[in-house]
Amino acid sequence: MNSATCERVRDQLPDMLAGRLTLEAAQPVLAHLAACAECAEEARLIRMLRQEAVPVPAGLEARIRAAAAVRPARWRFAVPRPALIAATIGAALLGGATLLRQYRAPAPAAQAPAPAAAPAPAPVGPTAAAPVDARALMQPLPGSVDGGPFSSSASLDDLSVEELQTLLKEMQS
Amino acid sequence: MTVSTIAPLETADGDTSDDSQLVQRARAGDVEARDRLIGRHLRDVYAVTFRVLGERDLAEDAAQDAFVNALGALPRFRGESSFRTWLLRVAVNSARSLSRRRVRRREVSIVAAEDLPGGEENPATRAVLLSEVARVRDALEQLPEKQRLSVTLRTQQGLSHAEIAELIGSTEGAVRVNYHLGIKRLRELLK
Repeated sequence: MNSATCERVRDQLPDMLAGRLTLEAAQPVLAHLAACAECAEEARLIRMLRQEAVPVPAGLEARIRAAAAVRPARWRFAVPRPALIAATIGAALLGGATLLRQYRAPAPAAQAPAPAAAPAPAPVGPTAAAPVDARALMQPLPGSVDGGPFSSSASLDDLSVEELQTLLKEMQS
Repeated sequence: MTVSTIAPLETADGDTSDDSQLVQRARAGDVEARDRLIGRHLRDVYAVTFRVLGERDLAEDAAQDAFVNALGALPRFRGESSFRTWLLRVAVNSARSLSRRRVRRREVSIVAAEDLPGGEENPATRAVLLSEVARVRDALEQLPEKQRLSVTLRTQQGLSHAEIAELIGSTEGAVRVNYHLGIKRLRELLK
């Protein structure tokens, strides 16, 4: 038997035995099977394989439905990733700006004393008890003429988003 | 073979809605659409996990993982392949992950009468059929995983070589070779 024909027929056997071939496409396959014992044997094997198909255990569908129902939050309230990133950046900027405003506010009259166990660091500004004096970051750099965009005379409200991001990076470093 | 000679796959529930419509609705939180996706694809998903793992209990766990993970990841499904192919790929990965974590125990091939379709034959015919199916199942167990998946996904789930390649992480050519090697080996084992 022509091996090219056999190969083509064998490729089609699974679809034909599943009833997925049109009558027009199935006829030459059936004609070939009547004449080729090897391909007919393969067709018989595929029929047996189809009989062997694994049945779904009873109750599995209900179990999976229940499991899917208890974990819907990830997809029911799905937020597009770009929106999530923008919201995160916005929250970070807002938090940073609020923090800086707190540091820029006048020091309260009654300062809480520094813990006795911790040696007090050398004061770098009026609020020496603060672990980090953010206002120091806003002082003009040595040699700077106008103090730069983050001079203490500038208001945070006047800063652009880019400037706030730069400021946050400096604070983090 | 042209695409037009192949009829579309029937769905288990006879539902005519498109998968993509159900996926969109499930994504929006429609529980009925989600459940219909589960019902429609459970047979294929379970068949895949069972073929990889060879044990019913593990296959059930893997099938559950596959659905929960896939449905949870629906927002990331971009529709580059069909939902069915994408889901079956998740099923293969879930089963392989479970397989790596547990030592495989070869299941004794006990085929229950209710496992077989039909049932109208007389008892003698049915006994012969049961025996033959048990032999086929044992023979399948002896194939390497890629041959076993290529043969069963092609003959039982009706997937094309290209679809099988996509979901088991192989090439269409390699799947074709694995399919034919698997069929050849099965014929030898069943002589």
